Amino acid sequence: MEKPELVDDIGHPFLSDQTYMVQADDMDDDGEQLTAENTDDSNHDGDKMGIPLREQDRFLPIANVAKIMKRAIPETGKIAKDARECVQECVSEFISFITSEASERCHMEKRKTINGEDILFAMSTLGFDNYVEPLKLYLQKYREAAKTDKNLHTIHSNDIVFEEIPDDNYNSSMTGNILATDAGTTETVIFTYQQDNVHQFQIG
Amino acid sequence: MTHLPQSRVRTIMKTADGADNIGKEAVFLSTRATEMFIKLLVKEGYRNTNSAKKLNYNNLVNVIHNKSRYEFLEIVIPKKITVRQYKELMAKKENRQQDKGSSDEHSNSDNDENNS
Repeated sequence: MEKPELVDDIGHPFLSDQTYMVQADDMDDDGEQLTAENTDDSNHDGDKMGIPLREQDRFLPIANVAKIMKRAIPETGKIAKDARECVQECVSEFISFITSEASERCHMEKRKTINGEDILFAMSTLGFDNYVEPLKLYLQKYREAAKTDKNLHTIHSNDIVFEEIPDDNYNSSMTGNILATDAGTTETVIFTYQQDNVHQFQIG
Repeated sequence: MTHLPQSRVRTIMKTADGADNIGKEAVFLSTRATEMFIKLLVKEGYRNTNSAKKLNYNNLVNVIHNKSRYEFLEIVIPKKITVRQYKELMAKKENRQQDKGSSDEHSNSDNDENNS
């Protein structure tokens, strides 16, 4: 059927059926990274079983780092290659640094799992307290998205999906995006799409 | 908006001391914080270029070695010096040892250093 293919062609993150990212602003894109396997610690005990990390695993991908760096400077600015690599290394160091501090607090409180609060606390302690407020907002959005996703899963088994969704959501930016791709066939795409996945991005 | 891969962030977090179990929220916040960190470091580095418009390694070094919040990076990101500067540094060291009352032999070798 062409409709699922069309959906795949669009390739927009929210079209995958694993999506958490209903919110248009900053909760989109890398949702596919946020799979249960990736975030569930119990599946990753093997990570620390003495298996040395490959060089590339110790750092974040240079392309991602470079993109973010570019955004921090004016359009006309340039970045030297060794500056990019430098930031890439600094970033891994930063992550370990914050995590160490967070884990200390976690252990002090006799907990076994490092949570969001530990990270926020570490930020504050290590001189990045101006990050705390924005991070709290991100956390709030993240929790809301996670909550609605839980609701989605329960709705999914019923067929009251369509009744749950008010009409004006069809005019949201997401459908707007779909409409932008191909005016002619869009309508049909939406309808078929709705039957499979739409509840995932209509809510929130 | 570009984001960093949370799975990789998680891998890196696990290399930290004492990090056994890491919750989803912790990974998420660390990822966002890292993005903010990159922007901050780069902005400050760029300011250091004094409108030269190109961010170089040394700009980052200057920021890292002059701001206390980046102290944790000082070891990771060393200052770069030229061979000449290194030799001058070594010469200075020799001079100091000399002043501490060592023998004449040292002054001979010291001259050699200075001639380079």
